[in-house]
Amino acid sequence: MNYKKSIIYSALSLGLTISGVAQSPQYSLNGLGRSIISNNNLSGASVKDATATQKANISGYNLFDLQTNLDVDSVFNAVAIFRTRSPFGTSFGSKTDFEFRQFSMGGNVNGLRYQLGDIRVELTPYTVFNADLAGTGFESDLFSERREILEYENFNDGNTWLLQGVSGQYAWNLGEESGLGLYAFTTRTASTNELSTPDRLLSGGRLEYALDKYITLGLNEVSLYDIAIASAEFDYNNNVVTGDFTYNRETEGALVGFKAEFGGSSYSYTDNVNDSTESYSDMTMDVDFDYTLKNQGLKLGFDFRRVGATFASPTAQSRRYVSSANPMLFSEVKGSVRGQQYFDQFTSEEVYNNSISTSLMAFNQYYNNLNPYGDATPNRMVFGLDAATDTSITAFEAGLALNYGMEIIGEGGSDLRSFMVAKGGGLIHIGNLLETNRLIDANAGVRFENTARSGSADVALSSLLIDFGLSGEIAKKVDLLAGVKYFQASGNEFIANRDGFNLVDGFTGYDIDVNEFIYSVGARIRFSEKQTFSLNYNMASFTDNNIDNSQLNIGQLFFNFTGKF
Amino acid sequence: MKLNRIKTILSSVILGGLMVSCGPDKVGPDLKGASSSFNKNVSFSFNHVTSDPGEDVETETAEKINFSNNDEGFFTSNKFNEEVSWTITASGYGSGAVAQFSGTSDKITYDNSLWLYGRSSNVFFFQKKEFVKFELDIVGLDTTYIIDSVSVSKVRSWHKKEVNNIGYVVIDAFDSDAPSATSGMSATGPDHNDQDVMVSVTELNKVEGVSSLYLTGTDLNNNGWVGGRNHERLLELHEGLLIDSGIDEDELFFNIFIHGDSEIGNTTIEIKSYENEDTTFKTRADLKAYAAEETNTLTSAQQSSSDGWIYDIIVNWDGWKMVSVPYSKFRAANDPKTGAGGDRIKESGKICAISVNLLSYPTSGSEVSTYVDFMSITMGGRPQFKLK
Repeated sequence: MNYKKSIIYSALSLGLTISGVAQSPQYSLNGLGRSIISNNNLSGASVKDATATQKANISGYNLFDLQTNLDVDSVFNAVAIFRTRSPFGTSFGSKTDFEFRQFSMGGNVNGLRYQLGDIRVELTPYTVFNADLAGTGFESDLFSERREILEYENFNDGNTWLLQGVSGQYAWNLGEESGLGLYAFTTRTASTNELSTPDRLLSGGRLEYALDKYITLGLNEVSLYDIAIASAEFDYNNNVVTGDFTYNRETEGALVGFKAEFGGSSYSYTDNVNDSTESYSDMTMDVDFDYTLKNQGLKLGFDFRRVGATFASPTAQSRRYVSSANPMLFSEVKGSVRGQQYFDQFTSEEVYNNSISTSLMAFNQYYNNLNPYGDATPNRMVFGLDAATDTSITAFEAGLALNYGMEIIGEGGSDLRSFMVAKGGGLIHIGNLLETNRLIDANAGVRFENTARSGSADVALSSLLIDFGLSGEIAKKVDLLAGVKYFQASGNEFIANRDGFNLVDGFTGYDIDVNEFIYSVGARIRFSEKQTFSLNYNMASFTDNNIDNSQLNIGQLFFNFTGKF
Repeated sequence: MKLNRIKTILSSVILGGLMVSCGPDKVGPDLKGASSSFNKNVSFSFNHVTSDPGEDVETETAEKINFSNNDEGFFTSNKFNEEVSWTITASGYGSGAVAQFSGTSDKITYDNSLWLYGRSSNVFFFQKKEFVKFELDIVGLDTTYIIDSVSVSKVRSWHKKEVNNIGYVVIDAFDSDAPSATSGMSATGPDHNDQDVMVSVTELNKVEGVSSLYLTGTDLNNNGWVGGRNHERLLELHEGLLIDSGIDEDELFFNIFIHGDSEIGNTTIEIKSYENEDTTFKTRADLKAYAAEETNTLTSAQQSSSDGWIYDIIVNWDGWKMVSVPYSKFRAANDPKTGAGGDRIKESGKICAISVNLLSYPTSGSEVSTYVDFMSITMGGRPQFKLK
């Protein structure tokens, strides 16, 4: 379930109405099939004389996800996804894996919507939220299609987390467009080994009150906690409570939106091995104001957020991308592990994460230093201005966002880092402008980030990401695609090392001067809205300017057939 | 209970809000980089405290690392011309052990770089006779100051020591197949009906000392048990009365390092303790006197009227990990011949022997394999072998 939308609206419109409808058992199937083959090669000055390093390989897989949907009646339904996956190069079913990828049951009992098993959970950006990766927002279809594969394999769906447990939702219609909604869930994020590791549960919910059709008030709570056992090596408990206020109003020429969220967290961790306990609390606040000019199709926004240095909300701060994970493609170069490149961020399934982490996960500051943990990134005060086209404009899409942030408390001293992020771009539907039925799109985007700190441990880090893409339908349903990404980062920074209590216990300084140029060209056949075949060639060229002869090129011919039904 | 939980949550969040205004003025330890005028002429040395506790502190610059006679080592430097943040990293060439110390100051001294007991920051222990490299890094400087190839002449012995009110008894470091008669487990028991069973010390993989105990085999007869190692006479711990009597079962910990390989399923290590509850022994002195006679063993008759306690550790992780099991988690053995006939009361003072066994569990019949190392018992809490 996705609780980004009003739970009152959701429960009243779906739950209460369905509860009165009798239905006969229904059974349906849908799913996804995918076949991927990639032909890869490694080149560049850094591996020129590396005779023992693997420089070419072919890999891929076929998979088929069959989703069965059983609706016995309005009270009970069940969904199960059965997966068959076979690595490329095997035959007659050898090394083919069969597994249940996802399984859930649910239904509606007198207006109470319930779900058991694998459930999707999302509340607010400070309580339960799976934040998106930073980017320009305007990358080529070639790259976004690769990213979609990773997100599907990683169970990412919007900003939800897929967890195992139970949830329930109920709403009361108070009349005159007023209502009260209640949503609650409990899941288990880790299981006990009956000795040193206790069960870890995640419980939470939202109480929502719609005063009228303009104003909504919400109260959110989420707790991640251990079920104590005497021999446990640790005992963890984290609570987050926030309240939010939403006001939306439509006038003759404009849409006005105002959202605010305030709250706090409390953290407690007992290390039974070393007999020590650490606990701390902190606060967060967020204010967003949006003003949409209906006639101009332009949406303007201002936002401000302040997140305390020890604000802890694991379900909002866990990252879907693991910067420290080692990619499997050419995993070893000259006897050492190949570090991640930007190319891996949208092509390597191994670098993604789908579990909740109680500690702040490592991140690469040069990819995103302003909000590596989403809006809930601790120790940040951020002002933002943005402008974007709304959906009424069909010929093009454009957006511009400026964010300026600073730390609330200095790391290692009183000097504060400041952050500046500017990003923007556009997508022109040339086909629409020419009034043809053909797909002809061009897109371009840029994201620039600068981090600075003065004082005895000064910081100066900047990064630049540029996107460019073209899509042209050369024959009916046959597209030629091209995409370019250029990433550059230079300067110096300090990585904050964290202890078992999530507290900073040291710093590691580093200098960086890298760039990476990625281009991709290919073709796509759209057999139908749900079946596509694509073939493209990618080249990612990475250079570390602090190291002589560091250039590393990954070339990849990528074949992808994806069909949904 | 739920009401209490809600009250706890609300009060802690409100308290958190109130604390915002009086929070810390910085995150983490001090961080001060060297300026361009920092004098890079730095002297850096490692020292040992040579005086006994309670005496005036005497130190010497150490050419060798020896934590056998001296619990305390420390680093020193000349006075820097400005205050800087620094990190000292000690890395063992052979063991893989690493110890780290950091601070912000204009001089490195005993007070800000004390290295107690030669403990490491990671799972590995520093080894006797290995070489260690000390590296001093100063924030903002490209230069690393190195003291290389300092040899470890002796490591600290934890056996029969007390630190922070925790008493240590090292059962076996698995450095020899034939440990001394009064300590260590020297008897090997393979299941002769299983295949390729090996229970032997090996230098190939270890976390402490020169070797570990390698246990491997295929549970061909499907009885779950593959092999093990135990105290030969099953009385050895009474000979030195190593474990105090009257220790609460939640305060008595059995500790062992186990190497896991998640691709080898069904590997389980079973720890078993034997208690001597022969009623002819009225005092601890009687137990000690009986154990001191080399020809005496814990006889079958004594075992059948005593308790045996068991705990199974399913090895489902990768790499080395210390497992620490409180005695309270042990369950009673159910074979009357080997320790199911006692009073079913855990009595620390009656623990006379230990065995470590390899099982194919939860599923019998599998090929299983693991390494174990440095088994100890701690009284009063979990062991503190590592730097916090």
